[in-house]
Amino acid sequence: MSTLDPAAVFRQEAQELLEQLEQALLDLEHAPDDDDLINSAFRALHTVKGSGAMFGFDAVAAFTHHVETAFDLVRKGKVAPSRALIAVGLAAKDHMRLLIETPELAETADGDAILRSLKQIVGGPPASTAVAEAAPEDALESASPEGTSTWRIRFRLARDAMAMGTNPLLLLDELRGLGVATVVARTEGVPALEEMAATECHLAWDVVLTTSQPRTAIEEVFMFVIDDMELSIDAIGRTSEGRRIGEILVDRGDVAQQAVDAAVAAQMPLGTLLVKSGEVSPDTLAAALAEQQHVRTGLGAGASPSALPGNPQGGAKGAAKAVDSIRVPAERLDELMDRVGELVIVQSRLSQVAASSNDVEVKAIAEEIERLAHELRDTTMGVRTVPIGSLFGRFRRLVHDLANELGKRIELVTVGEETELDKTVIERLNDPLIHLIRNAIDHGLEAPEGRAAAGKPAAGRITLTACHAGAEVMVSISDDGRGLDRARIQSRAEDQGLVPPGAKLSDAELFQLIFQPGFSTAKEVTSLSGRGVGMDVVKRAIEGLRGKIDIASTPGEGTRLTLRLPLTLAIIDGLLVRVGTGRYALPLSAVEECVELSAEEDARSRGRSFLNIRGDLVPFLRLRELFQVSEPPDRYQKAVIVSFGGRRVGLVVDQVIGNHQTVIKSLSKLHADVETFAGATILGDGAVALILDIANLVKLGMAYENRFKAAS
Amino acid sequence: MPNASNDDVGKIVFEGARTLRNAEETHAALVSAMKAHAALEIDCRALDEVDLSFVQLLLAARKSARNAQRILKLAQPVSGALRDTLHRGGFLMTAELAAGVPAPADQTTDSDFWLHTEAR
Repeated sequence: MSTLDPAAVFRQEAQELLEQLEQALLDLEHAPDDDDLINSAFRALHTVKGSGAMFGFDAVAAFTHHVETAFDLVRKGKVAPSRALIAVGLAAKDHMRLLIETPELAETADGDAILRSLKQIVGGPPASTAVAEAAPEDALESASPEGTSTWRIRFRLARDAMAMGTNPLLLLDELRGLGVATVVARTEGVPALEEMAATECHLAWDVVLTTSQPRTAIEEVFMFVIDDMELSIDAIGRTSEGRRIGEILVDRGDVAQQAVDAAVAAQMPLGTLLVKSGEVSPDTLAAALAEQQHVRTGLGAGASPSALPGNPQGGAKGAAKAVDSIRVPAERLDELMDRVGELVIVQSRLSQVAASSNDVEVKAIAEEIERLAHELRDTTMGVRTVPIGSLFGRFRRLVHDLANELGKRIELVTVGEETELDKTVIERLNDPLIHLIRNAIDHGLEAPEGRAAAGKPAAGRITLTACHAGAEVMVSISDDGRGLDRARIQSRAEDQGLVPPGAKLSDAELFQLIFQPGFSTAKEVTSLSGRGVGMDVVKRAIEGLRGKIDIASTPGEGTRLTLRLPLTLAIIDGLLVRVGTGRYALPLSAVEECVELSAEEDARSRGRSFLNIRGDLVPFLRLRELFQVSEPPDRYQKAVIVSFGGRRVGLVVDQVIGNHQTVIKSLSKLHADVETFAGATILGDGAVALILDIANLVKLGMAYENRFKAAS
Repeated sequence: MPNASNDDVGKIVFEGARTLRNAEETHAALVSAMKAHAALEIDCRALDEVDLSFVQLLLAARKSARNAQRILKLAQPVSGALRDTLHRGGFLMTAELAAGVPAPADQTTDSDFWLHTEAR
C-alpha cells in the first residue's frame, strides 16, 4: 500500500471528531443537563487538540486549547451550557475545520473574535469570575492541582544493590510519598534462571510522578544508592496531556520516530504494530501506556488496585472497542467492487457454457460458483454501504442555522438513520438534499404568525425519512408547511410557455414542472431560494444516480418529496434486448412492461409513432431507426415500455432476450458526449453490450411527442 | 510443547518467608524442579513474607521455561504477601493497560503470568 500522509490521517480523524462535536453541541441545546453530551464535546475537543499538536497543526491545537478550556468549565459544572455558548461552540468548530482543511482561508481575527465571545460567556456566572479574568491559558492551569509538575523517573540499581542491603521497594514507597505515582517495573533485564545469581538485581523501574515537590526532593530519594546506578529524571511538560502513545514512546527514547511514522501510516493500533514489528517489547509499551494513563487521568492508575482484573470496573472496554472496525480507503473498496464485477461477468459466462453442456458435474460446479459469486457481490456491496444517518446528521446544523436566519422555529425529525446506502450515492446525495431542505424551510414552512393563524404548532417540522424498498432506497423530505400552490405553479408554467394555457394537468405532472430550469414561484428572492436555480439541478443530480423524485403535496398540510435511489451504482439488473444484430441492456427498474408491436400495428402507427396502452397514448422510438440498423426488422417486433420521471416511452426492439445481471463499465473519455448510452457491460459470451440511457431516450420521446402535439 | 504430558506436572510449594536470606536455596530448588519436570506449577499460597529477590527468581524461571519451551505457571493467581509485593514493585499492570498491549502468540506479558489472565 502507499504510505499515507500522517497529516491526511489527522484531517480525516479531525473531521470525524468535529462532526461528533457538532452533534453533541446541537443535542445539548435540547438536553443541557446531559453529562454524556458535555463529555462527548469535551473529548472531541481534547483529542483534536492533542492530535493537532502531534501532527504539527499548531494553530489548530492552540485555538482548540482555549475552546477546550471553556468546555472543561462546563464539564465541571462551573458554567452552564447556554444557547449562546453552543452558538459560539459551533462557530469555533467551523473555525477549527477551516484551520485544518484550508488554513490559508482562516482569518486570525475571526478566531480571536470567537475566543473573545467565548471568554465573555464563560466569564458570565459569578462562580467563575476569577477564572474569566485570567487568560484562558491560565484557566486550564488553575483547573489542575496548584503548582504541580509531572516527572518521568527511570532507574536501574547497581547489580549488587540488594546484596548490599538496599530494598528497592522502600525507594518506590518513598517516591509514592512525594505525590501521585505510577510505577511500572521493567523486567526485560532479568536473565534466565541458570544464568542468574540469586542475589543480583536485574530489575529496573519507570515511575511517572506528579508532585508539588521540587526535583531535588526526587533526587534525595536516591541519595544513598546513587553510586553505580542508572537514573534519569525528566519533566513531562503540560503539553503531554492527551499525547499519543507514539509520541510518548519517541520521547522516552524507546523507539525511533521513523518507526512510529511507518506504524501510523499502516493505520493499525500503533502499539500493536510496534510490538509486532519488534520495535518495542510488550512491557516497554505497557510502561509507556502507564505514563499516558497517568498524565491523562492525573492519577496513578497503576497504583489503584481497583483497576486490577478481578474487579469489574477495570476499564478495558475503550481499548478493546477500537479493534471492532478498521478504516479502509474508499479506492480500495472500488477496486474490490471492480474485481467482483468481473468475477460476476465470468461467472455468467461459465453458467452459459455449463447450461449448454451435458456434464452434470460441470453444471453443479457452475451453480455453486453462481451462488458464491452472488453472495460475494452482496457482501462487497454491503461493505461499501454506510448508514444514511451520517448524512442526516449534517443537516441538523443546516436546519439550526436556517432557523436562526429566518426567524422560524424548526424541528428536524429523522427516521431510518440506520438505512444503508452505497457510499458514493450518499456523498452525491448531500447537495441535492441540502437544496431540498432549504426549499422546504424557506418555501414550505410558514412564518410563526402564519402557522399560528393556520392552527399549527409554532415550530415547523421537517421530517427526513429513509427506508429500503426492494432494490431501492426511498429518502423523503417532508414538511408540515403550506404545501405547493397548484394555481401559482400552473400560471407560472403558462407564463413561461411550459404548458399550453388552460391545460389540465395531474398533480404529478404539475409538480414535476418545478424541476424545470429557471422555474420559480417565489415572490421574493431570499438568500436561500427564489432564484429559480436548484430544483432542476437537484433533479439532474438524482437522475445521475439513476434515481427518481416523486412529489406529493396537500395544500395547507405540507409537501413530501421522495427520492427513490438504487442501492448501488456498480451493478444493476438489466433487461437484454436485441436490435438488428446488436444487443443492448436496459435498467430493469425503468422497464414497466413489454408489449408486442405487430406488423399491422406498426404499419398503422407509422408517421405517428404512438402506442395505445390501455387507453393511454405512449410515444415510441424505433431503436433500429435511431441506431441506423440496415437489416430487415423481425416480423414480430416488441415495444419495451420504460418510464422515467413519470413519463413513459416505448422502445421498439427486435427481440427481448431476458434478464441480465449487468456490471456497469463506464465508457471511455472519448465517448463522454455519447448521450444515448449510459455505459457498457460484458455479456456471458464475452461480447460487449451497450447500456441504454433511459433518461435521454425518454427526453427524445418527449420532444417527439411535443412536436406532434404542436403539429396537430 | 514437546516434552509436556499431563502426567509430568511437577509441583513446588513455597511457604513462610522467601527473601534475600534464603534466595540461594530458592534458586537451587527452582533449578532442580525445572530439570525434573517438563511442566512445573508453583504454589505460593502459603508464603507470608517475600521480597523482590523472590519475584526476580520467578521471573528468571519464567524466562528459562520460555527459552526451553517448557511450561511454568503459578498454581493460582497471586494473593497475599506476594501480591502486595508485586503491587508495591509495580509489576501488576492494570487491566486497562493490558488491553492496550498486544500479546504476540509466543509471548504473554508478566502481568498475565501473575494474574492467570493468559487466555485473554
